[in-house]
Amino acid sequence: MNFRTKQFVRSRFQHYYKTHEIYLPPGFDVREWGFIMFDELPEVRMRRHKAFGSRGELSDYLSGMVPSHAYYSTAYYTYPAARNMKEKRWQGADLIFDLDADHLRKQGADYAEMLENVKEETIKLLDFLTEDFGFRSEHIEVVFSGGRGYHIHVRDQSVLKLESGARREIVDYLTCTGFDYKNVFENDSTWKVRVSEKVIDYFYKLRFSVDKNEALLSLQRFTGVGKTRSSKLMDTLYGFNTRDELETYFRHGGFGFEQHSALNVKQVAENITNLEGIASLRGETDEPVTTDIKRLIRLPLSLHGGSGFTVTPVAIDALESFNPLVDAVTFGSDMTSVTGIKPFEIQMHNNTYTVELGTSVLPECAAIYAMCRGACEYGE
Amino acid sequence: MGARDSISVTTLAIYPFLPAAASYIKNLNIGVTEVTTSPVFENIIQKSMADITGAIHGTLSRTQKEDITESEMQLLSYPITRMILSCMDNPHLTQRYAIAESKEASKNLKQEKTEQLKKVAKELNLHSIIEKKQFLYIHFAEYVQTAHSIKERKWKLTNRRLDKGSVTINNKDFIRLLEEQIKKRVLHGMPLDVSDEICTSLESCTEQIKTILSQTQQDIVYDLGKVNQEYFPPCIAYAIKTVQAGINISHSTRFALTSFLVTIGMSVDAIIELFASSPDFDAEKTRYQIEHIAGSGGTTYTPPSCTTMATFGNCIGKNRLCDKISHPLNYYRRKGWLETHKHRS
Ligand code: SF4
Repeated sequence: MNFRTKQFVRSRFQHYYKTHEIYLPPGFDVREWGFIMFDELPEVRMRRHKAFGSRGELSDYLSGMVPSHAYYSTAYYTYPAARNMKEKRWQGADLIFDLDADHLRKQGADYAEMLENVKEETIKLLDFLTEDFGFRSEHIEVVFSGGRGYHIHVRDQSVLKLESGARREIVDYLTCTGFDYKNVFENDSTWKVRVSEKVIDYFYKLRFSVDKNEALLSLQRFTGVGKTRSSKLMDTLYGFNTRDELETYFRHGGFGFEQHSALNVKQVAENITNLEGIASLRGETDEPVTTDIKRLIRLPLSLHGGSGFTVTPVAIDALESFNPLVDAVTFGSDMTSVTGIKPFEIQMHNNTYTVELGTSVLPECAAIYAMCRGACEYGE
Repeated sequence: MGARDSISVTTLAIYPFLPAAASYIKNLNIGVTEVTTSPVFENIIQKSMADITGAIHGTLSRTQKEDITESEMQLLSYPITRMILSCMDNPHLTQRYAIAESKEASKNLKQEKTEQLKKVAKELNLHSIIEKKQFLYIHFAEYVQTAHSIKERKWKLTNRRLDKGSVTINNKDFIRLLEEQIKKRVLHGMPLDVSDEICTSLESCTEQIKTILSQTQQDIVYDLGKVNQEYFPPCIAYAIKTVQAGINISHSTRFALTSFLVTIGMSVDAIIELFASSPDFDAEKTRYQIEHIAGSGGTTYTPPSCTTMATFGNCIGKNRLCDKISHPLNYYRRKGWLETHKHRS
């Protein structure tokens, strides 16, 4: 971003902050705040250890300083503005989940599809949170991050004090990490119920709704299962005439899960846990967001300096129909000329806009997005 | 709080770490200096010493006394014990004490009715336990806060029944959770900030314990039998010390340690004995794991190299000889060679 582009984007951000209500998280005055400024870009230096005592103060800061990124701490502190963590005195922290498309195995062909995939994951996660964990929806806030995913903030009183190791257990549950595959048909854990049902579904499908050759091929995907083993297993399956019989065999067959002679059933189950767990929470290797109890997180209704999107809170029941490429678009359609640095494409409001090398004219929303992504500079 | 009133002094005496015990003492209005200097309280100090040495030797025991004065003595000895431990400032010992205390409590808790267990649970900040049919339910937040430090797989939330925020547990689980909370409670705030003055007045106690500790450490050297512990690389020596202090070690450390000991020829039984002081010790499982590493499953495992050790944060205490080798086994051999040659010349 050159100087002129920075000036332009900053002035558009400023206009936004001057004309929109800001969002205040509960307990805003006992949280730490952090910002990244346009002047310092591309260097990412966070100004942290800030604290605000009133809505007006924060609002003035945003429209006066116009940060390119705005964050607040998930933690509550006695002295949020203290310089180091010890002096701040940690009092608790929201439970946060960061669902980022980068951690998804299913990447999607383009940005739109990727966002759709991560939204599906978010919906799945919300289901776990309300069903298994019993969180009430008024304690859950879902926010489109303005980038590649969603943040879920849980502010149920019972979790605020949890230490990092305890939060890790929650993530492990959601990703089905550390699952005990032994005696999976015994149903003594929620995941066993889930997994064993799917395992039985799988064999049921092989037996009753797939043609035999296809079934054999499906089984042969597993390591150590060749022609002989797969056909032996299919013979066993063809011995059952109803789902009940099949289910009884597995649940009360008197053999351990691992010891099945024809197939290491564990592999089937592993496949299933991979599909059922929340993939996007997996593979966050260093400092996963959830277990980091001192993390800063993007301020809802602020603007994401890397995209120009609004960091948008979404009601749980509106999530299904939420489309960030329409609903999180901040800027309008005034035509704006830009100079392309690299070829670039973005969908917004169901149109596709392209940046070519040289000059192009785009609606402001797409132009700012491309500038924030570093694909073009402002003006000719 | 009503629940506090309803645990009697004589019961509190076997659970002296409960907040109710602390407030009982507070009501007695006795100052710290009085306890540590008055000869009348000699008995209390004796009791503390007995508890600490009991923890070292695995014989710590608490039994309920009918006598109120005697119970009060037991109650009073607990904060003194914590002070002595704080003056010593030996984390391994403190940990060992906390484990001994929690294991003993768990033994006693097994004799209690569920109603009483629930009272103890409240004292230990587990408020959500409810009983329905033959099962108990606990709110998941309290569950993970307590159970996340228990290493066995079945304690992972992933392997539990979780429905609308409630985790299903049975009576045995309940007691194990209490045990874990007790360990945490005993460790909480340790070491205390004890004044030099008080530590000086407790010096005869701390000295005595140090002597006992050094004796047991010698026993341990002897226990390792024909392998020569003096030749162990720092990382392995450190891992052994940790295990013997009753501190849980990570899976990777356990593997490194076991495979090392197996390779240099230590017997499976001797290794099991070594692990016996682990808090989550399970003889059967340990034997299985060791035999597995020792190759009963057909594969023998070589201990990890220094690079791998470093990757998992297990290279601890690196010294000069370490610079000359790239594998802990080589350290052992080389050191052995150096020592024997030194003796010859
Ligand atoms: S360098 Fe090798 S032998 Fe030395 S402490 Fe580290 S891991 Fe152990």
